[in-house]
Amino acid sequence: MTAKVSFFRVGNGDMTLITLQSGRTILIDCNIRAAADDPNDETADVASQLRARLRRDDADRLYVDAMILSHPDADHCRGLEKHFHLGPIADYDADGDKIIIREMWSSPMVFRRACRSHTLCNDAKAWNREAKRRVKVFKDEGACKANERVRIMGEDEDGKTDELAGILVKIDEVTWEIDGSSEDLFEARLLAPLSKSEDEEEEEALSKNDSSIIIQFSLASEQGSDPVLFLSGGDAEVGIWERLWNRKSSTPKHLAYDLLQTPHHCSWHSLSWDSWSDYGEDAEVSEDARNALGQARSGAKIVASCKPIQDDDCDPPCVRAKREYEDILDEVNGEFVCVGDDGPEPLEYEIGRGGLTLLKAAATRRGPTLIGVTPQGHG
Amino acid sequence: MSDVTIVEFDVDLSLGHRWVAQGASPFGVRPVERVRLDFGPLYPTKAPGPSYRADLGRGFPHVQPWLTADGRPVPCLTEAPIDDFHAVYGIHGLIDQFVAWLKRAASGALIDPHQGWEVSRRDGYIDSVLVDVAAIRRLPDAQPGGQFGYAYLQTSFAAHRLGAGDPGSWLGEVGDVVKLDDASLGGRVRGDVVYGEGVCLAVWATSGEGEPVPVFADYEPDDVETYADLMAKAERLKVSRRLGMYLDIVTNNAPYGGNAAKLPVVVLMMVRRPLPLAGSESDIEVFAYSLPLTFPSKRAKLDPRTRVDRLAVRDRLSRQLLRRVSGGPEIVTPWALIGAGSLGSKIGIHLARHGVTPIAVSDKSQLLPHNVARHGLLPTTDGLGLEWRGPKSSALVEAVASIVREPLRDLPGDATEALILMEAWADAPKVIVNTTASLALRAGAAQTPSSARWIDAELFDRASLGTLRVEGPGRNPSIEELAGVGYAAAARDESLAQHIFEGAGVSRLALGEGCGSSTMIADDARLSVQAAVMAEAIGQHLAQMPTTGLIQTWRRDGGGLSHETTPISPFFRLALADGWTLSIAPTVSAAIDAEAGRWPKSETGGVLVGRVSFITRTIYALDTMQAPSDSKRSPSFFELGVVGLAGAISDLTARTGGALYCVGTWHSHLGAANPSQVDRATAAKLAKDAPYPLALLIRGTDGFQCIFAGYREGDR
Repeated sequence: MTAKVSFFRVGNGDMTLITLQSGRTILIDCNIRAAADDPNDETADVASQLRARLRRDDADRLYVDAMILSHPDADHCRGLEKHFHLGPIADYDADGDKIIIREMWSSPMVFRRACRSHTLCNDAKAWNREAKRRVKVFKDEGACKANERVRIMGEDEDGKTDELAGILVKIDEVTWEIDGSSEDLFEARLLAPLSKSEDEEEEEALSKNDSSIIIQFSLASEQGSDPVLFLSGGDAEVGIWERLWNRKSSTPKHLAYDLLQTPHHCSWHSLSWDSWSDYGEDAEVSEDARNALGQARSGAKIVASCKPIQDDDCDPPCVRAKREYEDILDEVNGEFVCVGDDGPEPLEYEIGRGGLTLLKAAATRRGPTLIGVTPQGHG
Repeated sequence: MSDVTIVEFDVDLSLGHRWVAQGASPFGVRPVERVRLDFGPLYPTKAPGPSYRADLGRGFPHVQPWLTADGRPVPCLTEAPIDDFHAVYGIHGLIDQFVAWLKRAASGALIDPHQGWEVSRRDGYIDSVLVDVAAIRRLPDAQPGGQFGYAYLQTSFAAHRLGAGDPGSWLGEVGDVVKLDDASLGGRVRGDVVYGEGVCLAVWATSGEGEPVPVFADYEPDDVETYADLMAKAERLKVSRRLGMYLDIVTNNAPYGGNAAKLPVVVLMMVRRPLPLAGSESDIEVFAYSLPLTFPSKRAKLDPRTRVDRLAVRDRLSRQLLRRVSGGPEIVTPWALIGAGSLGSKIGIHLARHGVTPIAVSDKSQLLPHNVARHGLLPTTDGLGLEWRGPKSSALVEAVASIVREPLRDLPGDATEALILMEAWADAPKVIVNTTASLALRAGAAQTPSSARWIDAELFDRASLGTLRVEGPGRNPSIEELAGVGYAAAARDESLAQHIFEGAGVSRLALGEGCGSSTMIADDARLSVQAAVMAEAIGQHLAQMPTTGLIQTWRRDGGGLSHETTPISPFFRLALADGWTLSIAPTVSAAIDAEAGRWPKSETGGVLVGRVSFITRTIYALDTMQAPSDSKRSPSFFELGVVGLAGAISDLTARTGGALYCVGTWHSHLGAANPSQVDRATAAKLAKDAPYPLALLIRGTDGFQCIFAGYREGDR
């Protein structure tokens, strides 16, 4: 199995699949639009593309080993209820052939902060309900059921996660476990959400900045090789990144990446307090946020999961943000890629000894020797 | 070069982003490589020649030892010959291979640890040296000796001289380890060629006590051209001081003939790799070179520019090599071959080519011109061909020794004497393979003192039927008993009988003579077919003797052979009077038990048929005949009737050409098997009348007993 990262073409939205060397899968967000599901529409049929990359269990059900909802906006969970099974596994409907989420990585803090600013869409509510249900099972029975696991990303307020140490990942913690078992050649460092602050203003700020689950993934193809670092940060905006830099400036390698998914679909709001539409070229970048997002390693790739970037007032995606990212990449000989520029097949990178390689459609190849191809006489 | 079309093109290798950013992989391969294919005048029959930029270097496995005319390295892209590959997969296939090669070179993955260390390629070397590679590879680990890091070996060679002082091209053989003082050194010139004997110096890196053995994991092509190159390589392999020192010592010796001479010295550099070599169990790679040294001389005094020839290392012909190539297990059981005639010689040669050789060959006859019709050996074109008057055993011994390069003993003369002689050897044979088809010898086999198990190979009916009889453990059943089983089987099977008894005279002595005699007509090809399958079977038995007796037959069936293997259980042997034995076939005791079982309340019985051997003083009960209808049975008495019996017996004897005849009777007791008065009286009566000894076998609740109705020699 080759380790890969696949970015589905979902316009201004996120849907990213990590396939590990062992074959296990982690899905970060989903944005399966009605147009995508419509066979008569040209929009990339991402649901089918996702299904083609997943395995089936012994009961012939498709599954992801883990799914992360970075941020409960609609463009991160659209199509969740339609395509994924939520609820007890006993209630699984074989006819529906929905995808099972073996383990949910969910953040109650992210949800709380999101609720302050806006109402949640139905898919987000469904996710939250299911996550809470699984947590309750853990509380009542002391363990999660198979196919119904949950892990809590970041402590909740008021000690609510104090008794949930078994399924809690605290901020700055590194985990090697997926769905109850440890995974070789894999690490995930939780960088956000930050713990609940006592300060109300602080909480307001975090909420307004689209608090999201931010993780630095370390993905290796084989023992002993230098892993590929993948930084994924949902919709987190400038305030979050500034705070991250304050916390991590002495250990910038925790923010290092070979692959960065631009937060918030290449929005300028992740790099600056100044609105693009208001300030235009006068908008100033936040140095701290830029630093937090600038720890690119040699040859790094920055991937913007958004529609094609035009030089206009649009944000997201924002051409100014693109320029800033390209600037960061200049110093390291890296490459900026916009997911919306191509398609319909997902943008996929294979992880190998030398790092990331863009995956093109594989051509079938026959074996390298004649033995078994044509009869070989011996004299 | 004018007929060559050069095509250069760039290949994007899709290297990982880090290597792309760095501009090259850790092994120097760039994200985009410009490569070249040279299309010669014979394209497309001959594939184009691949090459890559010289500054990438040849520090990779799967690189040819030669360069293009303009100095570019050539990768080895295909396991099959490149022309064959190209014929099947075309240019696209070749380019795919090139890309795969470059990608693997980029990540240092050209060596697949599962396949083993890829030795540097030595295709196309003009000069070669024959070495017992397995023995050489053991030198670095030898106890004692390994820790010295060097060894001298005797060599013999033929070198084609191009001019004075120039060693020219070289072909030679490295023999055994030798003390320098005992080594033979010298050369004779014949025209352009120098024949001679010399010394080989083998060196390898050593480590101190308790330190790990030196292992060399850096791949490098074999590109030594001069003495300076050789010493540089020796330096990298940590043997330079040793090499220099012992080369100096070597030249101290004077060659025979007295005159100073320039003689080639072979240098073997043995390098231990981190993995076993591909296709081998050993992790030691051998590099061989030849360089000219002046003998005698205080020191080697070599100019750094002295030309050094690279030698391809070829495995010396040896029994072990043959065994390895044939893929069979090593055979440790010592065995002897009796009979070097048409069948024996073919079997002997087949087995020799498989690296399986007897410790001795025995045959009492001489080769005669008509033997060419089907002998395993070939006459020479030399002169009168007088060697065809020599003993068959000597001719076969010479042929086998030349194949396996090991001596074996020649015992022309009487087989029985040979057997007695062999018994006294330290490596006395444990298996005797007999191809003589001699009745006398077969009978005599039982008399030999040794416990060696016999395997008897015999052909019948112009090689349409071949049988192999393998004695059981403890020599039970013996080949004589097995032959008997064969006759009994043939008596019941018309088609077998046709092969075995057809054309045989009525005389008992002519029976089962098989095809050992020179009067048999059989064509060479048919004989070879039988000899080949028999050799294979014999080889298997020598590796692992069967746990029972065996009879194996190969019957000509249209254009092929149909084969049967029948295990034969041990015979039950009963001692009789006067040193005679009754040997009862397992089928006979089974038949007796069955018949006795049918009559639980009275005695019953039947007739024993089989053979009698005066040589082994044994009565072989090989089959039974049912008691005639007028036989009488009661709890204490059994009378053998007469209706149809005489006819049945003579019919059997005629049908089997006299091979099987009546050898006595059997009957059951309800109690113990002790002979009764009646039994003894009957036996005495029979004995008086019989032309040969008969057996009266009694089956009781406590086993078998037998009265020997033997005639006394004096009576006749």
